[in-house]
Parts: sequence; C-alpha cells; structure tokens
Amino acid sequence: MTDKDFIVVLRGCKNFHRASQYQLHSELYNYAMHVARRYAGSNESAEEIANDAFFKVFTKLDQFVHQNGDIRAAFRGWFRRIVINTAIDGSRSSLHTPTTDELLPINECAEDNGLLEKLTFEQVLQLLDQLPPAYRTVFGLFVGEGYSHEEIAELLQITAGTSKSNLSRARQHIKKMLSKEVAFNQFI
Amino acid sequence: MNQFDDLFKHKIDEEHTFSGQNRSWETLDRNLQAFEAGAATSAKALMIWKAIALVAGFSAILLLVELNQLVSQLKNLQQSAEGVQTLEASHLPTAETGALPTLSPRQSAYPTLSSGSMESRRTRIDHSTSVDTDSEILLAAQKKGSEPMRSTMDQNVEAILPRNHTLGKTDVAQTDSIELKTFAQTPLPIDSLQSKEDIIMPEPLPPIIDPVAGVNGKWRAGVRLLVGTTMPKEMGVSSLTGKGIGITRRIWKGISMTASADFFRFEVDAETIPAHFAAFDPPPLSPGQHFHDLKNVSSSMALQQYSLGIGYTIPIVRHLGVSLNIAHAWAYSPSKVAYFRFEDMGHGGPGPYHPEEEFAVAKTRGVWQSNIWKLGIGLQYDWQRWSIGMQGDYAIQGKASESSFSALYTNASLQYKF
Repeated sequence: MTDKDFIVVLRGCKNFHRASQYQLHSELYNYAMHVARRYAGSNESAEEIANDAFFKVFTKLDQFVHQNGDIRAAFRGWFRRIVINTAIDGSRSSLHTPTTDELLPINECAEDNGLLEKLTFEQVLQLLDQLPPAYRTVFGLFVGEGYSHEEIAELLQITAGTSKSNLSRARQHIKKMLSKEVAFNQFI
Repeated sequence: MNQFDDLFKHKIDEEHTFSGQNRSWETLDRNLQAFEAGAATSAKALMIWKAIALVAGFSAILLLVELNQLVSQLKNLQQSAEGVQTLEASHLPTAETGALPTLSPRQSAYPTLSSGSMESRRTRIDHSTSVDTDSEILLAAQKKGSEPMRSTMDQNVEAILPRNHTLGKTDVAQTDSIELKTFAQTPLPIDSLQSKEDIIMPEPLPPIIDPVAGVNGKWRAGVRLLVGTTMPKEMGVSSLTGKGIGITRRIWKGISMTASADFFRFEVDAETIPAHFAAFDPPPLSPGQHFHDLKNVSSSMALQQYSLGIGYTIPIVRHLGVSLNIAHAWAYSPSKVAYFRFEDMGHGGPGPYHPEEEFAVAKTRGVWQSNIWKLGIGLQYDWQRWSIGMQGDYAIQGKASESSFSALYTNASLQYKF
C-alpha cells in the first residue's frame, strides 16, 4: 500500500466506511498483536487488547494529527501507544497487587547458557506469560519499548524504584526459567 | 540495557504471523455497528431536538411580540371606554341640585338658558349701555369690508325672545333691562334657539380594533421535516431524511401557490452500483489485474430538491382541512466520495483460493434531475397565526435520465401566517 492509498484509507476510516476500516485492520492486525502479546499473557487476551485498540482508533481517528513526514510511520507510532495504553489499562488492577514471588528474596540465578538464542518466538512469549503481570509489564515497557524507569513510573503510577525492582525480578524469573530448561534438557 | 535485554528484544521483535484475524474482524465489526447505530441515533435525535428548540424559540419570540401588541391594544380600549363613560356622564343632570351640569367651553360659546348667561345678557341690554355701541359695531364692520353685522345686543335678544316678539330692536336698546327670567322658565324648541351648526355633537368614538390579520393572511412560511424512500425500493440505498423550508401564498379561497426547498441525506452501501445512481464511476484498477468482481459500493450521498406548485385546501371541520398539491421539482445530487471494493476472482488451479481484495476511491459526478412531478395529499390544521400539516408526496421522474429515481416522501410542517 502506497502512502497515497494509506491516506485514502484513513479518510475512509474517518467516514466510518467499513471497507476502509477492514483494510486498515488487515494492515495493522499483526502489528497490534505483536505489541499486545508482550503484555497480555495469552493470545486470547492479546486479541481482546488489539480489538479494543482498533475500536479506539476507528472512533477517535480525528485525534490523529500529522503535518509532515512519513504518515505511515507516524500513524504506527500513534497506534502503538494506543495498544500499549490499552494493554496497561486492562491489567492496571494487577500491577500493584503483590504476588508471593515479590515477597521472596532476590537470588542470583545462573545464566541461561545461550538457550535464549535457540528459543522460538512462541517459546519466548511463553516465558513472558509465566511472569506476574507487574513484572511482565515493566519488562515489556523497558526492554520492548525502550521506556526509562521514570517514564514507566509515570505511566503505571508507580515509583521509579518499584519499576527498577520489578525489572530486576523479571530478569531473575526469566533466567530462573531458562536455567530450569537447561537443566531439564541436560537431564534428558 | 544489557546483553540479555538486547537478546530478548531481538527475539520478541522477530517476524511472526498471528492467526485469528477474521475472528477479530468479526468481533470488531459488531462493535463498530453497535457504536455507529448509537452515534447515528444520537446524532439524529440531537438534530431533531435542535430543530425543535429552534422552532420553540422562534415561536416564543413571536408569541411575546403578539402578547405585547394585545396588551397595548387593551390599554387603548380601556382608555377609550373611560373617555366614553366620562362623556356620557357629563350630559346627565345631577341628582342633588337638579341644576344643569357644567358646560364645556365649546358649549358655553352658544347662547343657552343657563343662569350665568342670563346674567351676562342682562348686562348687555341694560339701559346704561352706550348708544354708540351700535354705531361702533357698524363702523368696525365697514372697516373690515364685510356686510354690517347685527349688533351683539340684537343677536342676543333675538336668541332669547320668541319668534313673534313685538319688541323692536331699537326699543330693546333703549328700554330698561328686561326681566328675562320668565322666558328662561319657558321651554323652547331647540331649533329656534340654536342653528344646526350649534348642535353639540358627541366626541367621535375610537376606531374599532381591526380583527387579527393572521386568520385572513395570504402568506405562510415555515419549516418542515421529511422522510422518504426510493420507489421501487433500491437495495443498498437507505431512506432519505431531510429538512426544508416552504412558503405559500393564497391566491383565491382555498387555492394557493407553493414553493419549497428540501435538503436530503442518504447512504449507499450495496453490492453493486444502484440502478438509478449512474453517477458512480468506478476508477480503473491496477494494471495486470484480471477477473475482478465488484463486491461493494458505499458512499454518503446528498440531494437538494426545489419545487414550485399549486395547492388546494378542502375544509373538513372547524380548522382541519385536507390539502392537495401538485408541483414541479428540480433535484441536484452533489459530488460525493464513493468507495469501491473489488475481489480478484482467481486464476484457476487446484486447492482453496483466498480472493485478494482491492479498494478504490472515486468521486461521483454532480447531477441535475429535472422534470420531476410531485403529487401530494395531506392534512392541515389552522390556528390564528400558525398552521401545522402532515403530507405525503409521490415524486415521479418524468423523464428517464442519469441518476433519476422516483420516491415517496412524508413531511411534517409548521408554518406561520402573515
């Protein structure tokens, strides 16, 4: 799709033309799922987050303002923020709920011994799914989106210290799971 | 970020195709339909309420103006009634003294039988009056160039004495003061005492208030709301909703001339280009594409309709009547954006085929439609200043042309008479 076609599709979406909305959905569905899956915990939850994000986009498309530059890149950035905010809104209630793991002391874990490189995309997602929502969100924002701890703190309404702590615990959990996997494979 | 984070980011950014797009679209489509239905309903309701508020405000202003006029007319009437009562009361004798009522300055200028006047007259014809008075009067009359006037004394005496009196003028001038009281007690015919010009006419009554002009006003102007549908019903074409203004002038009795301007909106969402909307020109597709099939056409359309006609109202009972109308109309469909969806029919071969879709956007052409005849029948209810009506019109396209269609309309109108 060229930039000109993309503009036409956006105009159609502004007028609530179903064909244009379908076309935009087709264009950005995979992208939305990619972003949402890091925070969702399951494919079904990610699909819900993506649908909510698309609904917000189609009903509030007039809030997208673009003056110059690559309109597709600008729209993707705007859409990405909507997906992240939708994902955070959906799990906001669990972001402050301490889990049993948070109460345990932090133990240093062994490295993954290169297993991470061998994992597939789905396996990496499964690792993320096993993290508590608070850890998963902070890890996804820091590692996946490149937010700073201050930005994460403002976004999630937590302190920067909590953000750092959650990130550290998330890494520990992932390494712990990877080390168990390595041990399991070695046993086999 | 450390090496672990970089590696993890690289992993989660890998290309991956997620399934479930169709299921996701179906869910989203349902949600969007529900949202649009609610938004459309609220938007329509908002428009209707805005129109009602506008009409109510306009009516309130007109009613206030009319109320103000009525109050001022009432005040004028009250003042006139008080004036008439005062005038009537001034002609009636009082009960206590039985004396004649006090005369106005106009009435006092005429010789009457009041005692005050008698006293002054007695003074005039007294013997002590100078004899030279007559000659002075004659000289004054001669100076003015007019005929010599009769002296005031002579006039007064003649006014008092009966017609067949024997007293001469000279005798009267030289005679001692005449006791005229006895004559004051004798009732005399008014004609002998006063000329026709001396008859006191009552004050003219204030003009009668004109009846309310609205009942017999020849003009009417107002607003109307319309709903219509194409005839026969075109698949994929929604109902036509609109608003308009109308003006009517009564020519003779129940016959009147009408003029109106209506503005409609409707939606097109069809699998093919509607038969009577030929202004849709699908744009050319990408080169090299074959076996393309048009799957959907959608657009938001508008229609302007202007009509001139004649109407006739048949009264049924009191203020209710049946209205019959015939009018000639012209319609204009402005250019709008239309969206087309095509599907590639496939290139043959075994196995399941997932058709590829292609979308195109184009503008429709602005089209004028003429030779439209409208026949209408409805009900009309009249108040003094206002009139409401409900009417059904059938618009026939007299001449087949591009983007022409017949339609059935229903309209509700509110008109003001002036």
